[in-house]
Amino acid sequence: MPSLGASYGRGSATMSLWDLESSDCVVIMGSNMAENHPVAFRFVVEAQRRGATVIHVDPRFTRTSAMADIHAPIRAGSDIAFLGGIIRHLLENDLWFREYALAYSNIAHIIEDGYLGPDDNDGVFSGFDEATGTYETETWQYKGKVVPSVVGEHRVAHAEHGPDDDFESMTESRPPVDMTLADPRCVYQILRRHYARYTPEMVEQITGCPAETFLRVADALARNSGRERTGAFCYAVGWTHHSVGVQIIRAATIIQSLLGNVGRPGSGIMALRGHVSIQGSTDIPTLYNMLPTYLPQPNALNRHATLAEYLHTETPTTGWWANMPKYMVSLLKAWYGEHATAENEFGYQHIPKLTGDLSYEPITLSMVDGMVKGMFVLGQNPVVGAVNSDMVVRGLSKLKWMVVRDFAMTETANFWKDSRLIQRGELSPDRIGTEMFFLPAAMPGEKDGTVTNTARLVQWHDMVCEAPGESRSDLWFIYHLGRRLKELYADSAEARDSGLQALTWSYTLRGERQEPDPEDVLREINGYTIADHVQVSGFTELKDDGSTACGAWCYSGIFPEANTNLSRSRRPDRPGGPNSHAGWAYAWPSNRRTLYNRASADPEGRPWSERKKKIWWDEAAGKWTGYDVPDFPVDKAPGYRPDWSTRPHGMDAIGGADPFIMEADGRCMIFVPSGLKDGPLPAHYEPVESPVKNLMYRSRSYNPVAKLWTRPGNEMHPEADPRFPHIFTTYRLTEIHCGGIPSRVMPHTAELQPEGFVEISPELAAEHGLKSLDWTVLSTLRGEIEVKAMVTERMRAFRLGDRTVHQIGMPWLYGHEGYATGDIANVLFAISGDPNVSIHTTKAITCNLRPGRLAHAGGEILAQ
Amino acid sequence: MRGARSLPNERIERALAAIDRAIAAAPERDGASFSQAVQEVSAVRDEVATHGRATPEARRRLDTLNAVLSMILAGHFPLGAPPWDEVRKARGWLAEVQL
Repeated sequence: MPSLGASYGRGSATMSLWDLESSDCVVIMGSNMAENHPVAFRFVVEAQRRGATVIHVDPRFTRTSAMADIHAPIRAGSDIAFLGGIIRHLLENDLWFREYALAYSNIAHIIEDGYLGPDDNDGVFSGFDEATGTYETETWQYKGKVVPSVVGEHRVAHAEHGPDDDFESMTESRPPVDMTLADPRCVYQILRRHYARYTPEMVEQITGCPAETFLRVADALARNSGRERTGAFCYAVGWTHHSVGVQIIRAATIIQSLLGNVGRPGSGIMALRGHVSIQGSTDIPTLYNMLPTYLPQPNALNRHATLAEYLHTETPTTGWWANMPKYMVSLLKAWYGEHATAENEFGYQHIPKLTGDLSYEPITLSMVDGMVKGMFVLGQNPVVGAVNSDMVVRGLSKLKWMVVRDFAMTETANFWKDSRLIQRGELSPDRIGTEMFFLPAAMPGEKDGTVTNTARLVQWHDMVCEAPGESRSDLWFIYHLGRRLKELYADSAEARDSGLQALTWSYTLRGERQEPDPEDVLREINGYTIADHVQVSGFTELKDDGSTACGAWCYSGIFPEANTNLSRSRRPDRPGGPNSHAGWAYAWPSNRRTLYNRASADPEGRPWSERKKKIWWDEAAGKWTGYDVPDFPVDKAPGYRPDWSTRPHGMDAIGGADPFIMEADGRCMIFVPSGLKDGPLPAHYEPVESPVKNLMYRSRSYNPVAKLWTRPGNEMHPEADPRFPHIFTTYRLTEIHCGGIPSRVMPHTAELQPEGFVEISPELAAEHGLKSLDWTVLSTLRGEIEVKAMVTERMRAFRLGDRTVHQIGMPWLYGHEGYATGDIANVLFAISGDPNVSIHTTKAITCNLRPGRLAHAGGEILAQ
Repeated sequence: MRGARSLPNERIERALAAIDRAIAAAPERDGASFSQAVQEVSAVRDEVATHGRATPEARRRLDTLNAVLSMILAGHFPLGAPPWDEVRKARGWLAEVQL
């Protein structure tokens, strides 16, 4: 998410799913889209039917590969080498869309003199602090400027620039540029130097993909981009679950920026989310470091002591984000109502302040250490789905209490009597003090509400039937839990309880079950005026004076009138229509289907081509018009230029030809000065566990700022450790949904994939004398599991220089509950994090494989 | 009130020593030292909670111990460079609990 946010302005897919059918080239990478997003994949199939080239870049040959025109096999974890090779190919062969990139990206911007790339700085970017394992970003800035991060949760990093840093330098002038691209400090020249060594030959040596295949991919992309043609990238967690996951996505954003593939029909980056409503859960977040719709969570260690300080520190001076105070104050009014006044900072002090990383991985380790005492588990199954499953169980065993809500028993709820550590005798139920509560949850058809899909599309669904027995919706549970807590603490005099006391918690309750009305919640999310409680029509009506309330500013407009719920809308375009389907549900922000669509027109406001028109400037009407809601001030003429003599702020500082309005200067960022913790450009580092040395930067094997939490039970494998010679990766199956339980407990779905398995290549099978259905043992320093072999040509050995490296893969969705069972793949993984979002690594580690069974009780039980 | 009784010095001393080791290991960013510190301070907190939280003094001690843990967490799992000064301050807060 920070990658798309830092590059373009918003951490979300830039296009709608159905727009994929307008693509001339679709690159699917880090995803097995045909099997895991089959509904979305039909738009790719339609694009192919219309003549598009479909490319699948993946270690395995899957059903997606079978449908593709080109399958490019790469070693897991080598994605940046491959994508960096494409960037080099585009630049060195002058295949990029020059007019687009020059006008709309920062390719001509001049970077500070002190900037050094890893080729010139011992494998790291300038600003690296070996002692803290972090980067200072001063040398990555535009010359003479301090650029605010568009990624809210990372803006805080700029506190390092000093107490007077207020981003006012952005109001003084445009950032310096050299439109001739000759200046050695301009982004174009830096980019060329940075990727100079990413030659087709180097790509082949690092990724294992034949240079000829790589060049077919690069040329297909270039051939299908420009004024008349567009291409799209689709990715899923095959890109994100790496120690460089954010930078892999960043590499794709650079390619798309160079090729003019953002904001135009059939172009963009489709972030295929891994679960139902994952996009929604980042928008109105379950994430620890953000308030709803991308407002940064206050931090006790930064200049956030008061609301005024927080807003001063976090509000960019230029671009759309200059409106942040309106969104923050309106959020506080939604949460604290009449208890939020200007005199008490609108209740700002009620919001907990961060001190450190509270993402899932550190919390797991903190459970093991005894810091965390209780846990709610809603909508997840961490014993199966989280890395280092044994460590997760050790953590759960230290809790005083745990609440699991699900509609069937899960491995997590049963950890105290059935987990691997119990079977192995390392834990026993009589020595676990965790008090367990298992509460039945309603299934999707038993509740109404919204799902936000991968393309920011918020779709309402109605309840089909009531949940049986005591099963209740998550909304019911959260509402009544909050209500009871408010009652319990109503008389408390403790300051820390004042937030709970002040919290607005009033929703219409329906029927005997007292089910909260989810439309009430959506009305609050949309926002309303305080004085007369009238719904606002969108976030442009929000104020920072306490006169409006809004639960999530990006969603504002979804419920613009008391009885108008636009997420219910189901009016598709007629055949031959504009293909925006603007009447189908609601896409945030402002029902836009294609983000940054100002870029679909040239700087003068004319479509780049008739074939690829989206929105354009209507000179006679004096406004932007077209097939989508303009992602731009509707009446800002293409010729508008900021008057820098007036020190313009906000949108006044964004010109009429600057489409990326969330960015501080309206340009997409090929080079990211601020907002990322591991560099302004993607660089190839090996995964934190790799069977080979890093050929690109020999002094640095893996991302130097990756989060490694080595401890007993969570040891890492050294580089090229001969004990663990193979690459191990995990993935999903079409037939098993979510964390496994929904499909494994149902006989008719369980029988479709009845047992866990590991896929190995015929070459590796021959080395070990294995055939399909033979037992194997997979091992890492974290643990061992046993699983039956599936020998298949879908997996292949990779030739890297003079060495052969084998890759093996396994579905991660199995556990011991239900009809379809198998050992848990996540036993093998270490808890680690990427530097930007602390996402774990599940797509490329090292492991060992041997024929046979485990000797301990767990293996025997499975054998029975 | 049981919550008002003195804490066992030995336990607090162990927690202080563990924080000292984490601070001393700063150049190596030694997660194991922080982990030990978390365990020791959590044990102190458990001790206080076990003996009741009914009195204002006990609640103040718990507030302080939670604040100490928050800062150790900031050092153990930092958002950026580890805030060593804050970790040292937290050590001081813990030392005052002893008094």
